[in-house]
Amino acid sequence: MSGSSALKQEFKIREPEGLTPRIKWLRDYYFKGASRNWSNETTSWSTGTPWDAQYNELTFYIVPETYALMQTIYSSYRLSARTVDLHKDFWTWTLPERRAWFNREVMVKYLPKEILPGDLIAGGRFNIMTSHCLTEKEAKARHKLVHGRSGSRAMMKKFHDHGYGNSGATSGHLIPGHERALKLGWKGIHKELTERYNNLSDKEKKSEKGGQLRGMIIASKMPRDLAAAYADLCRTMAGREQEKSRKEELIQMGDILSRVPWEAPVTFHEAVQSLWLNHMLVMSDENYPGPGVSFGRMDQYLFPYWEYSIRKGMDREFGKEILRCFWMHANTAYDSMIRTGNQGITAGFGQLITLAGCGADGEDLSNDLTYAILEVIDEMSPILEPKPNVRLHRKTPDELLDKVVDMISGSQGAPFLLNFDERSIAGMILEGRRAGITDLINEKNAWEYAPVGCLENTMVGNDRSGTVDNNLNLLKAVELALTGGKDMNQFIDPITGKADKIKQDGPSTGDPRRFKTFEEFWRAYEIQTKYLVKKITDLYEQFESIRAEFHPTPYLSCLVKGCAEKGVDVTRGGAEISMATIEAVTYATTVDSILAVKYLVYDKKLCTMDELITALKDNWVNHNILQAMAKNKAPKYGRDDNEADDMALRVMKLWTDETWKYKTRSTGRQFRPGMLSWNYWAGDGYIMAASPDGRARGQFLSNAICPSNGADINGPTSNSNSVGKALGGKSDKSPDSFEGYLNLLPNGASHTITFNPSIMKSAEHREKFKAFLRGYIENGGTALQINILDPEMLRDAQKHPEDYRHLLVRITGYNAYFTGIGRELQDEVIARLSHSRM
Amino acid sequence: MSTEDGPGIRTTVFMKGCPLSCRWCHNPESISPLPEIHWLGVRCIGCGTCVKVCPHKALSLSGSGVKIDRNLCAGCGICSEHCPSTALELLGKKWGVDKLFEELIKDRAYFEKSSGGITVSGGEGTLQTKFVGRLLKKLKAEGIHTAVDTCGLFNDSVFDEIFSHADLVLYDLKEIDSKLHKEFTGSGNERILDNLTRCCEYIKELHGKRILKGSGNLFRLFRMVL
Repeated sequence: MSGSSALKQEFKIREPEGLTPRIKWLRDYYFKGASRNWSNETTSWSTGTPWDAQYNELTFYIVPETYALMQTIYSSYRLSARTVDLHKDFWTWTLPERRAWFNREVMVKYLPKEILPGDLIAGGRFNIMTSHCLTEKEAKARHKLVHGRSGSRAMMKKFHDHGYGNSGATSGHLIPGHERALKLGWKGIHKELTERYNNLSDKEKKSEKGGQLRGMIIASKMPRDLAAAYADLCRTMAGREQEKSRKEELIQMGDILSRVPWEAPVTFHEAVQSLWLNHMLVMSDENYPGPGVSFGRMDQYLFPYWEYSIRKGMDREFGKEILRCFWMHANTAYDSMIRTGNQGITAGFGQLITLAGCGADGEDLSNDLTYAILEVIDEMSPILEPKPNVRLHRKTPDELLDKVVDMISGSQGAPFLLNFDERSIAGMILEGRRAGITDLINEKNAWEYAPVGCLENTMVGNDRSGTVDNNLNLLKAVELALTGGKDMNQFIDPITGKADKIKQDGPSTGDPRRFKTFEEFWRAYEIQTKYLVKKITDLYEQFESIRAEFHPTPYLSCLVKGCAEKGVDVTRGGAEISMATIEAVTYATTVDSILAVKYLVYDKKLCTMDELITALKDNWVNHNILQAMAKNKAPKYGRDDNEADDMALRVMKLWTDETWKYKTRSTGRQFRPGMLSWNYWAGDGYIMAASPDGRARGQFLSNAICPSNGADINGPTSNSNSVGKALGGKSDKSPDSFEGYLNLLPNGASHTITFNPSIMKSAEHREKFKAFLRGYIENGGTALQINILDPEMLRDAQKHPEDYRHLLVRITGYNAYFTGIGRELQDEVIARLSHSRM
Repeated sequence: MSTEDGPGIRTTVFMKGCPLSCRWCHNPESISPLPEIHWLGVRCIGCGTCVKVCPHKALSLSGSGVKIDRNLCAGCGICSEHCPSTALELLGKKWGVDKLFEELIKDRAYFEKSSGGITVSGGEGTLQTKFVGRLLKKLKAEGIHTAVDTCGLFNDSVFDEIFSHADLVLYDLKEIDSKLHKEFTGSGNERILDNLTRCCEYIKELHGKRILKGSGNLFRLFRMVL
């Protein structure tokens, strides 16, 4: 956007104002971090056997930062684990029963229970690392599969070292069936499970199915037992409490906890208390706090309780106070890393909530609770969790859009992410068709979708789509096409100094120096892309099958439709909709690199293929003229230039078509495509060879579906138009279109645009910004995050981090504290701001 | 995407050539009607390609970057074509009406949602009367809101050829005192004030017609930017 001069301003970091004393105390206490007396720091628990272990590294394979520490973390949890007294029959049970019993024992009997001053919600500690609960034989088998020569750890490391990306069987990343759990209460779920089990034949009872259901039955009593323990605590505290109004609150909380979440909640307070316990126990069950364990459309399923309590005389502000306490609880997930940095160093958690959005007939579903929640977010900001996502669509009312734009303009990193219904629903409908599950996802119900984690669209309560499990660097296929299937650079282990031999890893696609036309090069790229997709699905199979065999999550399975019906754990593909997502990383770098090969070598003949390959092997050193041409003269994706965007679509169609061809063998999960790319575009920039778009090794790759840094020289509308076209654009004729929208990525794609604060400088400008969002609904992608940041302020924050502790910025699909993200990423955020070529 | 050149979200076309040379000019590169070479130091990698390819020997490379001898430069753009880092840019590109139209309607969705459209600015767009007239006519036929930004120094033909296809004219009167006007812009404002008076008459006349046609938001037809 033009708007030449930013308003000169004093750099002010937003701080919350006007919080109630209760919330101010809780919030301030939370931000004391490691110096707090109370914390939700992870504790470790063992069966006491010598072969026992807690840490499940498969779930962290997608976090390359942890690779170097993996063995240390594994050993630390083993060494610090406290032993739990086992039931005498423990070792006679099936694994799901053992895990369910063990976790319940730790949560109910071993973990201390506390309620912080003024808190209206119970459920404090949930970060636990619990025993794998394996027998010696099972543990040995697992050990070989994970730590063996061709074990999962070695294969994971090799894949990452050589620049393909990463993959892991990651926990979370789904929306449990909260609405159902509230409607039935755990009593109802327990009853259903018991009936199901009793209806099994004796033979079935002895089978895996029987064991699974028994495990789930045990797990279904955990919320009741835990709530009872908290109810006792509330009453004891009430007895000691001197202050009258607090005493009443504690008595009230005790009453609530003695009913819910076992019984179905009636009031809003009961519903929020239930929801918190139900959610928090998922994180305990999976031994990993908050990795995309998302809430779905909270303003919809909590609304009947809100309405009921308001009707019965609940003060609206008190309702919001309950929500604010809930907000504080969600943030304590970060206590798992409390000693390694300020709260949320990588912001790797995403307890996402979804607000507003369309209903069955396209009408908007926002209600008073939507606004109450938005007010709470506004009042509490800046704060990281839970991460809100507001759904916009053609019929979003002006009132909501006004509120959204007001909140964006008053914050630094926008306090929420925007999701776009029409484009998203088109993707879900495509998924139903391509996966052959139109009975589960179709035009009638796709509007019920909600995002998980950051922005990954899934269905709700019956869907696990493994949305961060596979992160594939598409750019590797360009490298392999340029080398005929071998690494361009030799990998040298930075720790051991050992060099890997360069081998024929990919298919042999011939010497590109002999390619006479661009289409010959494209053909090689195509073959290498197919190889990449197959390679990551094979690798994932290795992790997926280990998880399926050794790491059941019976509690979570109770909350995912399909698991009880089939008697199959969610880790074994029990969910009705069971998918695994490949998230493509480096998309724009890949498209731009292919465009550069075409432009430099074939169209303009500015260099030969040999010269280009030599320059890449030299990391562009001493090839600065060719590099400048690659960077500046070759067409780029992100400028609303049809030639470049057609190439973008061609790349998109190729890899997504390939993705739909695969399923996991052990669990039958269909692969589906998306673009999230978390923070990999930064780290993998140091691993991947120089690319034909002019990027040197060591420079960042492109992020999710965003154009390469500095490429979007035509401004935010052109940038957004390109994104929409890359997803498939619009067409009324295609059978895959929904309301005229096409979307090749059912998972959705992360798109970040940074604006200078001057775009919000007057009421008239705010109206224009609203119109920009309405235009984005028509032309843009599935999810947009907006940063309103002044680059000067960020430079000042680099110099004086102590003054900017709470400064939040959007990275990709998530907010993080600017001062905590590391210099390279900070520089990248500043570079994004320029919207111009340097 | 522009938010500063009229109502809503707009795309602005900057035309080359201006009869004034205001001291505060925001877009000095648009004053000359001819294409001009412009050097951006931050992009330059100092490779010297431009010096080698210039057929007019107008360029030289010094410690402080590329120097352009304006007396020798013919604005042919060959250096800019060969410059690998786009440090040399040829400002002023020839466009046909149809091609420009295709480029301009790409943001149509944003225009529609914001009641925005296209603004012709400059330079002084009215100097290229026929071209701008044809462009605006085509845009208007597509239902796109059109605006022209002018300094007020234009010929009579502009009324029929351009303004009749414009939804909005941004009449940028720089200074009311002619002496000061001359001092700051290099030209007196007699003609500009005269044109303004005729604009008022034109509005009255059109006002009548529009009322007969029963359409249009008349009071926004002309907006003076003072």
